[in-house]
Amino acid sequence: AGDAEHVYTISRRSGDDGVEHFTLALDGAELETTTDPARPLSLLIWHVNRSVIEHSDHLLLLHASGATLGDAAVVMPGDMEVGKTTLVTALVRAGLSYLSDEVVAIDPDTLRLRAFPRAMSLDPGSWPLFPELEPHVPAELARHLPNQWQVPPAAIRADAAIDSAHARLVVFPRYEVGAGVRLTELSRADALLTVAQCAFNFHSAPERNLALLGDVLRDCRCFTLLSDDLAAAVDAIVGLLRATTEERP
Amino acid sequence: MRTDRIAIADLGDDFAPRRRPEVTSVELDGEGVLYYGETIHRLDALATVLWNCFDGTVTIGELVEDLGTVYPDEPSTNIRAGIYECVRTLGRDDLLANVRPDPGD
Repeated sequence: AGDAEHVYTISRRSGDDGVEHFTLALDGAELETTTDPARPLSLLIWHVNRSVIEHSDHLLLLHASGATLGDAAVVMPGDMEVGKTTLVTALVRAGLSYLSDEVVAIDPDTLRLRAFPRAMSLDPGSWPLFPELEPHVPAELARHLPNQWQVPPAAIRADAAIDSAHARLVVFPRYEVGAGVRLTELSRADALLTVAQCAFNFHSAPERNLALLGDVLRDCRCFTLLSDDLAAAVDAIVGLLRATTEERP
Repeated sequence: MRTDRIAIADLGDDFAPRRRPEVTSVELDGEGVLYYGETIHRLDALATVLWNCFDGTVTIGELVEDLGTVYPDEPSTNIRAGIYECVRTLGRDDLLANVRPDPGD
């Protein structure tokens, strides 16, 4: 609520050739003009994400999804297309709270994870897994949407989003056909190496960030997860989270 | 001016490796992770023990003796080889203040 600091606008005009041109602007300054009707909204989403990252440099930003069981969080770092969004969407549907599907931030002052609870961006390959989450879009707007479902956490549960949590579990997911569910525990040192490589801004303050990751991971168990069974993967992660909270309430 | 960094090929039992003070390190469950020169380095448990010993006063020969008492069933040749390999690796990665990071002869 309240006045926005910045305003994005998408405008449409017909060119002399009769072709429609779409322009995305920020605070009145053009960002891009295109003839692709879906491009402006895609670019807007990307631009907002990038701006959040650029203006949050005091935090350590992990390319990761995250969910919580109470105050205990599972962080799932990884590159694009490993299944971070699919997995976190399934976890939230199973009753966990939502941190993010893209960026999980570590606060160096509190060592807690801070949320970036943007809408979950589900790719077409995941749509059959979540038919109940299909957005209902008026036909005249459909062509302007990127080929992703944008699912706000409130679409799953009104109180799904959470502000922060304590990291207790790190899981590096990878979808692999035929894997079933294969969990392999990693040493915390090995996990730190991989998490650092998944951080957007590790090198902006590397000495601080190395120590920060060490402090956070000391409280975590760390695993790789190979899976082609989403329900079983969710059960495995929830089971591990419950175990970590029972070890140290 | 004479350099105080020796070539890897010139390492000997009387050499006392010294950690670069600029290296940032964390240790998790006895395993080390180092940061220097925009690179993150991972140390196994033995390398981490050795890294912590590399203060410029303890020689390789002394470390061979010390580790020999900790691992009495391990042949000293193996212990010596492991220490030298660790020093060479850390030296090549420019993590030691008194070892030149070139392979030498």
